[in-house]
Amino acid sequence: MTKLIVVIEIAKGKITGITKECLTVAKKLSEDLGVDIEGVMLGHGINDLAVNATKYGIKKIYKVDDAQFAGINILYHTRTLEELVKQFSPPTIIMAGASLYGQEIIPRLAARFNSAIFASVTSLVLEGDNLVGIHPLFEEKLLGTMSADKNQMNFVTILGGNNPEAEIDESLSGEVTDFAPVISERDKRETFVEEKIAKVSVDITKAKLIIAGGRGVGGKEKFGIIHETAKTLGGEVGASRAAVDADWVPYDHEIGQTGKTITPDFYIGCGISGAIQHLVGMRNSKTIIAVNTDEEAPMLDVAHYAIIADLHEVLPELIKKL
Amino acid sequence: MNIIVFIKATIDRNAPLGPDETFPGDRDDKADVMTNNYDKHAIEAALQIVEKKGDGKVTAVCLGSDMADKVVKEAIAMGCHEAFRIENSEARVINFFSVAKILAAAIKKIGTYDLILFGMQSYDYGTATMAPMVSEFLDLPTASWVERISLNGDKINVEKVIEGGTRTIELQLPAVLSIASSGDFEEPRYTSVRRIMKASRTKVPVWEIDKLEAGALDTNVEFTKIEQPPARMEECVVFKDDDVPVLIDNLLSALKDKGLNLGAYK
Ligand SMILES: Cc1cc2nc3c(=O)[nH]c(=O)nc-3n(C[C@H](O)[C@H](O)[C@H](O)COP(=O)(O)OP(=O)(O)OC[C@H]3O[C@@H](n4cnc5c(N)ncnc54)[C@H](O)[C@@H]3O)c2cc1C
Repeated sequence: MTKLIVVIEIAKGKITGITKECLTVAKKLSEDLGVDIEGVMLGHGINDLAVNATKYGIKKIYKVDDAQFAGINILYHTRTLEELVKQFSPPTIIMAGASLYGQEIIPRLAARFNSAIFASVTSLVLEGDNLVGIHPLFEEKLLGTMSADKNQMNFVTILGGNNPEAEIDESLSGEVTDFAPVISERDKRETFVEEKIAKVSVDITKAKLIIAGGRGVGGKEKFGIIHETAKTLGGEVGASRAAVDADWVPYDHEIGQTGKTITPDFYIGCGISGAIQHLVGMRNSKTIIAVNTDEEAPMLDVAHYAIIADLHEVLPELIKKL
Repeated sequence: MNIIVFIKATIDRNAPLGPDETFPGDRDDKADVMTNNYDKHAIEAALQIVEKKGDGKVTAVCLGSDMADKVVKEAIAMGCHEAFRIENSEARVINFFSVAKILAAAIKKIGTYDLILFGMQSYDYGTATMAPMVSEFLDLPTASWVERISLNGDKINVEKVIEGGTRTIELQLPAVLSIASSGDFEEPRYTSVRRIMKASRTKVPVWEIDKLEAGALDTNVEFTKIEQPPARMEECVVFKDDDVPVLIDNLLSALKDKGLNLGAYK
C-alpha cells in the first residue's frame, strides 16, 4: 500500500498556508489511492502543533522535536527525513508545499534517493498507473505535464496559490509519534545563525481593491501617495518586495511568492515591473490595472488596462476624478 | 578562491513561444537566445567575491548547443576568467535530474573549487532544483536564494530569503549557492562594447557529455506533454502618449463600458 507523507512546514509558530494547500492535494490523492495521509513535522516544542495538524485529516504524525531543530538546518532536515523515508518501501509519495523551504529540501532529499521530482506542480493526480502533475514553464506561458510510475518513490512540491487551503475539522484526530533526529558529523557543515522575520498585523487578503506600489514609487515619503489613493478609493495598500525591502512599507503589504496571494476586484500596480515572484500573488485579481512608465514591463502581460505615465502624476489626478 | 558559475541559455521573454517549445538552445533565430537573466546575478556574486578577496578565478560553465556560445562569451565579457560549454545539441538531455548529474560530473572533472553558484531559477523550466540536487550529488552544503555573503576563513556566512524575512546560516566550504535576484547582487554589471567585441573573438572550449562519467541519465519523472494554457480572452488595453487627465478619462470610460466602477469602494 502506498505511503503518502506530507512534510509539514512551520513558520512563526504555525503550520504554513502553503502546507495546507499541499494537504488539499494530498487529501484528494489519498482518497483516490485509498490510503491515509501521514505527516512529518520537524522543530522544537511542537507537540501542540502536531496534535493540531491531525485535525487536517492527517492520521499519523512523525514528530521530530529537538532543540537542534529550533532553527532550520537543511542538512539536519535532509538526514532525518532520509532516515524516516528509508523505513518505508516504495510505493511512497513525499510531498511538501513549494515554499522556499520545500524547494530546497525536497529536491535535495530526492537526489539522495537518486530520484527526480515533481517540481513545483500545481496539481498531482492519479491517472491509471501514473502520477501526473502540471508544472508551469516560461513563467506560466506554457504548461508542462510531468508523469511518473505511481509504484516508485515519488517526491513532490506543490506550487502555492493554486489550491484552497485545507480546513481544520475539530472532529478529526490522529496519532503523534516521536521520531528521533538523525544528524551526522558531516551535517554540521551547516550552522543556523539567526532568522529575521517581520511581524504581521494587517491582513490585505480580504480587500476588494488594492493599490500596490513598487520601487518605481521612489522613496518612503513618496509612498504616501499610495496610502492616500488607497484611502480615497476605499482600498488597501499592497507592495512589491522591493518596496518592502527598502523599508517604505511593512511586510504585511507584500504581495507574491514570499508575501500574500490576493484576488481582489481591482488591483492597481504602480511602479511595479511584474517579476514572476510578484505576479504569482496577484495575477488572479479580477481587473488588473498597471501604472508604469515602461510599456515593456512584464506587468502588462497580465494587466487588463495600463496607463503609461509617471504614477506621481496619475494617482493625484485619479484621486481628483473619483 | 575558485568559483564555478553555471549559466544557461534561454530565450528572450519577448520571443514567440511554440506550444512544443522544449529546449531554447535550438532556435531558428539566434537573436532569441540569451543568458538566463537570473544567472547574471550569480556571475555578479562570483566576480564580487573574487574582487573583494583580491585573488581567485571564476569559471563559467554552460550546458547547451552551439547557439549557447554567445551566452558563454557574454560571461567572459562580464569578467569571468574562464568559460566553457558542455555540448548538448538537439536537446539531447533536457530533464533537470540528468542535467544536475551532468553538472555535478563536470564539477568533479574541474576538480578544484570553493564555491559553486547558480542563478535562483531558469526562465524556461523554472524548477529551481539545480542547486539542491547538484549539492546532494557532490555531498556539499547548500543554500538557495542568497542575498548577502561574507567569507570567514574556510566558512561562508550567507543571508538568504525566507518568507517574510531572511535567515543567516554558516556553511563550510566548498558549498553550492543559488543567488537571489534581490540583495547585494541585484544589479549585474554591464559590459563595455570593447569587452563584448574582445569576448566575441574567443573560441569557446567544448566538453562532451559522454566523457564526464555522469552515470545513467534516465529520469524517473518525465515531461510527457507541453502545451499552451487556455488563451486569455483580452489583450491589455494601453493608454499612453496623451495628457494624464485624458489617459485617466479614457481608462475610466473603458471601465465603465465593461460595467466596472473604481469608485464603488469608497
Ligand atoms: C526568493 C525571492 C522571492 C521573492 N518574492 C517576491 C514577492 O513575494 N513579491 C515581490 O513583489 N517580489 C518578490 N521578489 C522580488 C522580485 O524578484 C523583484 O525583484 C521585485 O518584485 C521587483 O519589485 P518592483 O517591481 O517594485 O521593482 P522593479 O523591478 O525595479 O520595477 C520598478 C518599476 O517601476 C517602474 N517605474 C519607475 N518609475 C516610475 C514612475 N515614476 N511611474 C511609474 N512607473 C515607474 C519601472 O518602469 C519598473 O517597471 C522575490 C525575490 C526573491 C529572490
